[in-house]
Amino acid sequence: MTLTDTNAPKRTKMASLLRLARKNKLSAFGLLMFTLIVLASVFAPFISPHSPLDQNIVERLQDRSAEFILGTDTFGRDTFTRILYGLRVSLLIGLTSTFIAMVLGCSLGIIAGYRGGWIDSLIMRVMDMLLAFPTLITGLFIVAVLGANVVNIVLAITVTILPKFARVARAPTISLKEREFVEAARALGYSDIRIMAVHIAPNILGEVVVLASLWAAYAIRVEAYLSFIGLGVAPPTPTLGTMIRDGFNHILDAPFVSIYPGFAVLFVVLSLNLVGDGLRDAIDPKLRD
Amino acid sequence: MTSPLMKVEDLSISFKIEDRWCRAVNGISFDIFPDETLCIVGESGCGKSITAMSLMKLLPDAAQLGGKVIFDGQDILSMKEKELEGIRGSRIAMIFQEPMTSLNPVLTVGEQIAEPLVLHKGMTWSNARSEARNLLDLVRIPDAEQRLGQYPHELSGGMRQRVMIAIGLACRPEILIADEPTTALDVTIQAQVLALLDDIRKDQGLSIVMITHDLGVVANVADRVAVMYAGDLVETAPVADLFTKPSHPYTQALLKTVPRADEAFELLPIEGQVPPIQSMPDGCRFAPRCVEAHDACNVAPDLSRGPHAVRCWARVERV
Repeated sequence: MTLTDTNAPKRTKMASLLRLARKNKLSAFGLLMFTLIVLASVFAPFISPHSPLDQNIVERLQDRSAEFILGTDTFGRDTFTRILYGLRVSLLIGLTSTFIAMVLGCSLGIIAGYRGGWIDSLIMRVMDMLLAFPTLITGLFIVAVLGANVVNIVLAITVTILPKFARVARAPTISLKEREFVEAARALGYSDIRIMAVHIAPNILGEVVVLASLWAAYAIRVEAYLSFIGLGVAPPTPTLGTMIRDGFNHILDAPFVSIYPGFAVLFVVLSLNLVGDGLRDAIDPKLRD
Repeated sequence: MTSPLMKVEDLSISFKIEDRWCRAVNGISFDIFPDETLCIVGESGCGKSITAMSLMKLLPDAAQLGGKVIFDGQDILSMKEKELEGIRGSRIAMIFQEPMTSLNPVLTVGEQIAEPLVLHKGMTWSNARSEARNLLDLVRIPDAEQRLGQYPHELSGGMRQRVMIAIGLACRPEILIADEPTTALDVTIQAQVLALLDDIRKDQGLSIVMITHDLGVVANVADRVAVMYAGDLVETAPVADLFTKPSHPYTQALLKTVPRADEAFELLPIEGQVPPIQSMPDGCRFAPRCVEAHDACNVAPDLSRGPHAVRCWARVERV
């Protein structure tokens, strides 16, 4: 729905994004880190000679070495390889659930804010109900009832963070709908749906994307929590949470088994937070140049 | 005389204030003819803006509407939202007072001008974009090609108002409603924008309904004038008649409040205040401030007939 098929505006947008990256080095670093993490997990088979699943009891609980650069776990599997494969699952679950929660949550929030009245009350009371439970409890409940598999974990995380998007989308919608450009849009004969999707949504995109990057980091953590308490993706599929839990029995004699996957979670979360900050600046056209 | 493009009949708009319905617009009637500029003039709060909004039924749900707005044989006030969407922006367009806030800050100028064309005329985005370029030329914005890719905050106030005009004109509407289009602009830009509107009206043969409180603007652009006071339409006249032979006591008083450059003058304020909307007099709403008020004014007068119409008991025998 944009005019970006023409060259002129696109070039200036790209140029100003690049300029922004130069100005905001920390975010550029976060983006680089996140890109490297994603690439590493996607190309895991080419990076590591080991299998994430094959057990080798003889080599169990080894510290760093030339062959096992981050050591091995209780079954003698290479930790580095398992982290790469674990990132795949964690990123898939974290990003998918955040994306679904963002789209659904914002739609609900914008509808609630724009329509007001009983529609607003209905949507927001349901969101309040979801918010009333601690996120982990809601997630636990859903996974426990429906069973632990990737789809249900995505569902659980989506449900727990969806209300936050709804609330963040609703508040600016209420003030935006009183702005003259919305009235002008109505005077141009645009339907309510069009006004919400084309005229209001882009205005709150900046805030929402920042939030999305933060909640994506959170979603990856929730996935790790759920795996940690044994409600995550079933073993032997590696996920960061399961790996941390597996090493927990040896936290005193072989702490590295838990610590390296823990660092992986840290780096993903950190890079996403840095990216979020940069995106906020990039999307707000007032900050562009 | 040609038949009117739009007929407003006994339009009234009420709002609920403290459990009572208050009539903000009190049964007004006027016509809009093809190819003319009608100025609706009045002080703040006299109902001129909501009158303009109601011509497209753009009022909040809380407002109660009465009367009819006949456009192309149909009553706009009884239309459904879906039908209205087909008329708004396409056959009747509107430009607003604040060019700073009437454009969407996150969409480019090109996108905002092209959007109504895509929506109402079924154009493709690339066709709409080249048409948007023509429209920017029409409203005399230099470097049109470059401007299309810019965001509203990169433009000056006068530039933005021109963009608003371009959006309003995009679908070649029959009526353009301009709600104080120059109030937020400085005087030189104001003159340019008014001249532009006037040229476009002559070029495209559309009708403009201009809402303003500025009698200077009225004198510049209007063909006909409708004077509103506290929700009443008190006088309508061709612009020359209104300035040379103002009839209604309010219009006469109003003209004495405007400083003149061509002769010695004394500025005369209108005594008193507009009554609050909750306690409007039953009869003529201007009566409490009127120098010619008498007993008959306790009953609301009707608007007289003819091109120069006035709503005043003191003028009944004269017109």
